[in-house]
This record gives sequence, C-alpha cells and structure tokens, in this order.
Amino acid sequence: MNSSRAIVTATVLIGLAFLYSAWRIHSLSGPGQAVAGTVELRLAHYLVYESHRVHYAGVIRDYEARNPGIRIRVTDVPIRVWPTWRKTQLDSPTPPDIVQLGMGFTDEQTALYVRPLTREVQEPNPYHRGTDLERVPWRETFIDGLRGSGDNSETYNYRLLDYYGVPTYANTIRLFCNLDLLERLTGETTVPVDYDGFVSLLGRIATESRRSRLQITAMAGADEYSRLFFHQLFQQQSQRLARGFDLERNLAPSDRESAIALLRGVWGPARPPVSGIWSVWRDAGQGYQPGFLTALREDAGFLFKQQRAVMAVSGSWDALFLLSEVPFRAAAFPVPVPDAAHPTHGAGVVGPIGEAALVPSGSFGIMRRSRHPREALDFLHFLTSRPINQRFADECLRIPVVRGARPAASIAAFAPRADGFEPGFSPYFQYYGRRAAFRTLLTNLHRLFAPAGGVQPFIAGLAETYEAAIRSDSEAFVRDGARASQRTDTVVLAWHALDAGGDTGASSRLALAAETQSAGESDYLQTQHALLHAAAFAPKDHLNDGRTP
Amino acid sequence: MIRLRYRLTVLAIGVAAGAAVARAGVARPDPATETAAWEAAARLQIDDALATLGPSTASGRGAQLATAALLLNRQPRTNAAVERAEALLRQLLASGSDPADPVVLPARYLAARIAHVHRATPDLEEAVRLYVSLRADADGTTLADLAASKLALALLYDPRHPRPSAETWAAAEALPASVARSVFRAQVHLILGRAHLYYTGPGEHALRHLGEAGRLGLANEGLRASVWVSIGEIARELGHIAVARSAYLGFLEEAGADPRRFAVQSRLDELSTEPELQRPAP
Repeated sequence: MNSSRAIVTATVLIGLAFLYSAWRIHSLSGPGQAVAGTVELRLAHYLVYESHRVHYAGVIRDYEARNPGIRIRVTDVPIRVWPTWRKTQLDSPTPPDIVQLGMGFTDEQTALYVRPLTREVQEPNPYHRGTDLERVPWRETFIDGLRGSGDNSETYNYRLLDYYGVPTYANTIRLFCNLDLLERLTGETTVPVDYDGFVSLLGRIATESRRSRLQITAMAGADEYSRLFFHQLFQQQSQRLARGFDLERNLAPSDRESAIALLRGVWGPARPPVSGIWSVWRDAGQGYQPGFLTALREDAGFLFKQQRAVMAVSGSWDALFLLSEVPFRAAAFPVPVPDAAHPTHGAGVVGPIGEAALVPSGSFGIMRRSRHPREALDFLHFLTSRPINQRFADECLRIPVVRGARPAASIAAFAPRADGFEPGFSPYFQYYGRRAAFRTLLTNLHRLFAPAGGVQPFIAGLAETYEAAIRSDSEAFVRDGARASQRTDTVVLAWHALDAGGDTGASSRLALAAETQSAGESDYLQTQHALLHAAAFAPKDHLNDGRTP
Repeated sequence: MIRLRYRLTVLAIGVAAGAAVARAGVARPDPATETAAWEAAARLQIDDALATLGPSTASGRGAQLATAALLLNRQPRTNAAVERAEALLRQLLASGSDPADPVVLPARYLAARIAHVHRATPDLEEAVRLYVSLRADADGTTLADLAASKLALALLYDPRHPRPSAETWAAAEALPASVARSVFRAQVHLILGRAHLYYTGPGEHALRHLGEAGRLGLANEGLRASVWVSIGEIARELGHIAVARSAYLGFLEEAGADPRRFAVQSRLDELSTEPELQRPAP
C-alpha cells in the first residue's frame, strides 16, 4: 500500500515537474509578448559574475519603471558554453533581441544575424538630452568613437562597412596583491615597481613559505592568468625586435608580419633575443604554484581569495572578484616588467607599453530577427548612456567607455596608461590562422617551467614543431584572406550597382570596400608568397634585423 | 495540310510572342527588385538577395549578373556554384558585349575576379588578360580603375616567381597614371608601396608611392593613419626629415585614440633638432 502511494506521489511530482518545465520552455520561446500590451525583450550575455547580475537587474528595474510597457528578461550563459548556446539561439526562430557580441562572431554570422546600427550611431543618444553630449552623435560618445580595432572589432566591421554593436567596458591587465599576506610574509607594504625587485620578492615569498610551512605561493596561476603575464613580458621584451620586422613600417607589427619574419629567418625561438626572453619567462614563472599551466582561472581565483597566494595577474574584469569580495586588504599594481634601462633584460625594450587606445569591449547588438528592434534600440541607448555606464563602472568595477565616465576610485590603478609605446609581438599567435602555433607553445610550456626543465628543453620542444605550426597557421591565414576577398567581391559589385542606380553614398562605400579588400588581398598574397619563397629572402633583406631604434 | 500549316503558324506566333515577352523582360527588369537584391547583397544577405531575385533564368540581365555575384558567396560555397556563376556570366556576355550596356563591364570584372580568386585553382594568366582587356575597353570607368588595383596585385605577387621581374615592375609602376579617380589611384599607390616594402624594404620607391597614397587620400581611416606612420618612419630612415615631420603631424591630427600616438609624438620630438640630409625629397 505504502509503495503504491509512493509511486503515485512520485508520478504526480514528475508530472508537475514536467508541466513546470513545459511552461518554462513555452514562456522562454514565446512570441515576446509577456502580457497583452507588454513588450518583452530578451537580452543574452556571458558576463556571469554575481556583481554583473545584480547590476543588470537594477538597471533593468529602473528601465522598466520608466517604460511600464516593456519587460526585459536576461539570460546569462557561462563563457565556456556561450559559443555553442549562441549558435543554437542564432538559428532559432525566436532568438534573443539583444546579444553580447565578440567571442568569435564571424563576418558571415554578423551579416546574417545582427542588425546594422550605422544610421543610428550617427544620431545623438536621446538619454543624453540636457547634457554636454546632447548633440553628440552616439558613436562619438564612446572613448574610441567606435573605431574599433579593425580585425576584431565588436562595433564597426571594416569588411561589412557597418556598425553592429555598442560597447560597455574596456580592459587592462594588472597585478593583484593581498597586502596583508604580503606584509605578514615579507614585511613589505607594497609591490616593487621594478622587475628585479619583483623577482626578488617572488624568491623571498617562496623562502618564507618553505620556512614557515604555510604552503603559500607567490603567484596564483592558471593557464589564462599566466598567459596574460607572459604575454605582457614578451610584448615589452620584443618591442625593438618587432620594429625590425614591421614590414609596413607602421609601428604596428601584426601576427602576419611576425610570421613572415620567422619564415624568412629573421627570428626564431632558439635564437637571441627571443631565447633570452624565455629566460625571463622562466624566472618570472617560478612564482606560480606547481601545476599552474593546467589550472583553471577559477582555481587561481580561489587560491588568491583563500589567501594561499599573495599575487595574481589578471584583467580589470576580475577587479571586483579579487579586490572587493575578499576579507583582506588588496590592491592592484602595474605588472612589473624590465624597463629599457635594465642591465640584462633591457636591450629589447623601447619603453612602457601604452594603453591609451584600449579597444572597448562588452558590446551589445540587436538581432536581425528581433521582434522589437525599436524597443531594443531604446534599451541600448539607455544602457550606454553616461549615468548607466558610470553606474556599471562603480557597481561592477569595470573601466567605463562612455566619454566623461570614470573608473571607480577603488580601481584607479586600472586607468589606462596614456604615455606608452606600441607593444612588440606575441609568440602565442593566439588569433592567427587556426592557432596551431598557440597550441604548440602551450603544449611545450611545461618544459620551460618544470623543476627539471629550462630554456633548452623548451627550445628543443619548439624546434620540432613551432615553425611548422606557424607555417600551417599562415596557410590558414591565406585561405581566410582569400575567403574574405571573395566575399567582398559581391559587396563591391553590389555597391557599384547601387551607385549606378543613384544611391547617394554608394560610391564612398564602394571605394571603402574596394580599398579594404585590396589591402587585405595584399596581406594574404604576401603571406602566400612568403610561404613559397621565404628562402629567397636572406634575413638581411628583411629590413634591418631588428636594430632600428 | 492546311491544319498543319495553321498549327505551324500558331506555333511560330507563340514562339515569337514568347521571345518578345522574354526580350521585354530582358530589356526592362524590375529595377526595384534588383535594387532590393543588391542592397541585401551589399550586406551579404545572400539568401535574402537570391530569394528577392527569384530564378535567374527567368529574369533580366541585371538579375543574372546579381545572381552570378551572389552564387559566389552562397553557403555552402561549392565549385559547382562558382562554375554556375561563370556560366551565367558567359551567357550574359554572349548575348551582348557593348561596354555601354550596364551589365557588361561588371560581368567582365567579375569574370576576371573569378579567375583570380574564386576558382579552386586560380588562373593568374587569364585574370591578368581579363583585367588588361577590361581596362583597355573601358578606360576611365570605375571598374577599369578597380581593375588596376587587382592587376597590380596579380602582377606583383605571382606565386611562380620569388621576385617580380624588371618588366613586371615597369608594368605595375605604369598603372597609377591611367587610373581616373583619385581614390582608386591612391589604392594602386598603396599596393605598389607595400610591394616595395615587402620585396626590398624601406626605400625611395616605397616612400614615393605611400606619399602619393596619403596625398590622394585613402577612404579607410585606419589605413590612412597607418600610411601616415609608414611615411614618417621611412622618410626618417632615409633622412627626409621635413617629410617625416609632416607625416607624423598628419597622423597626430587625424588619428584619434591610437596606440602609436606616444611613439609618434616621441619621434616628432626627436626630429625637432634633426637636420635634413642633403638628399632630394621624394
């Protein structure tokens, strides 16, 4: 009897759960009309920090209070599953109205799924009425005028020639430090600004940790955290070398140019000055906990927050997590790197790396299939108004991107450094080709940092695979470049036809599309040529061997 | 017999009427439909554009051209689609090749582009031949100007040769003078300047071409900023201090937030006391 009652109860519970799930699914995939006369907007992003959830909830509450006919529902998706989730949503009949851009949105996806905002960004943001930005075009209310970064822009797409998103924050990289722990272990009250002092500090922390058996590590490391640190070190160490293989001579050597220089034998992982930079990496890497290369960023974060690590290198996105939500005094400092005057590691340095041209990120766009594009646009205006961006900066400790908004006083250390030089190059080639070199470097790093490892085993590992990986990435770059050029042919012909049909503005778009196409074509054709004929170019032919001051 | 003749007459009238209707369709394609399709194509809304046009064989010449351009980028991209686009262009050009016909030059330009970059195995020689003939027949048109850029690229980056021959350089160097519109002439100069940098590094040739590209004005503001920096850097290395100063100033005036501002300002400061070398300005 009891068992049959249990079966009935279980069945009823399962039935109720099923009905609830069905109702949730129905409501999530509904037509966007929550209540008769009420518009429901759906917004999706991958900023799954608690502070951001609270912030968005507050902002949306205020917006809904001003607009009683609109309800906004937020879906936040962890960053690891975001690309897959986004893909399923893009193809669904009821995609979100507003989606966070970036994270590998291709040109084709952008063109197919995202609504251009080109006309809208030329008009003022109505939420700036009564302020000094009242008559300023929306695009010019952002610190970079929405010029973006060219290839990876979340705002203006240079190939599609349209604006697609509006940003909400920028990022800088800093060294986070637990000041209480630092003082307890070393007596120091601040992090040294000079590199030698920093390396010495790493040694002192390790010594004290061993002596006191506290099992405290100097740096909390993870694959991503350590990469940010090593990336900064390398970019500064390679400034002079990179100027040497800057083919265009435009003080902005790209991965493509770095790859061509490698194919021509101008630099290699086993030769100075690059081999010397690996030594700097190894010295700096000794501060991390064992196994840091395979740790996740969450592991490193907990290590820092549980006071088992004194420092961590991460981005401004972790400011709230690592500085505020901790039971100890914490502060952020510039990442200590060798300067140009350093006796052994200064030869390749031109000067500090500038951050004046941060590329705004955290952009949101409106989906082409949004049922409520007018309301979605209004919410984006609200979200990117100066008061809301300032509120975002204050509540989430992020670097704001609307003109006049300021970073919170507690993260003043994250304010972008304006007086700096251009970075050198990165051996990671993280966004080049199919990332074969990136994977090769990562899979060999353990040889550099293992207690029994070192620069030579690391170089030996790279010698077998690194150049082949760069070659493979370059081949992928050529394929991608050709594909981009093929796409633009349709665009160019279209603007030509519209120009002939009397469309004002078509001729300037035609010129822009054709020029961008030709520049891209010359990039990939040079790379293709270098893959075939690099041997015909002795390193001395390749500009000046990196000795240009 | 009479009945047969009657039937033949009816058939002939029907065929003639059909041809007339078809010709009328050819002569007067719906401009609004084509414009809508091209607008979608400009934003790479390939499927929308093709749906707007409908079956290309039933449409006019303009629609056939648009269909060919769209097929090149329809997903999934296949060699069969490229071949079909080529067939459509051949059909278009076979039915009329007067350069005054608004679809003829775009069709010829697209045919050259297909040979150059769309085929699974590009045919560089054919591409060059098509670019040259387009330029010869349609001198002064936008597409002839565009073809000059593409011809320069095809000549200068021939994968069969480690370096362009003297004749190739001469042919490429002659191109800018024949480009009618300054914005496209700037593009050709930019291509030539970059080619000199790629093959021989910074020198007077590269400086001259980049200087011309900068003077004529590039449309892409990111490229324009980079060209100012390039001119400044090359001129400084060659000792043309006044040119370098002017280029650095041009960059600082035009570029907004740019990671190179500090470096360029530093260069400018260094040059304030630097004497001009006794070399002819480019």
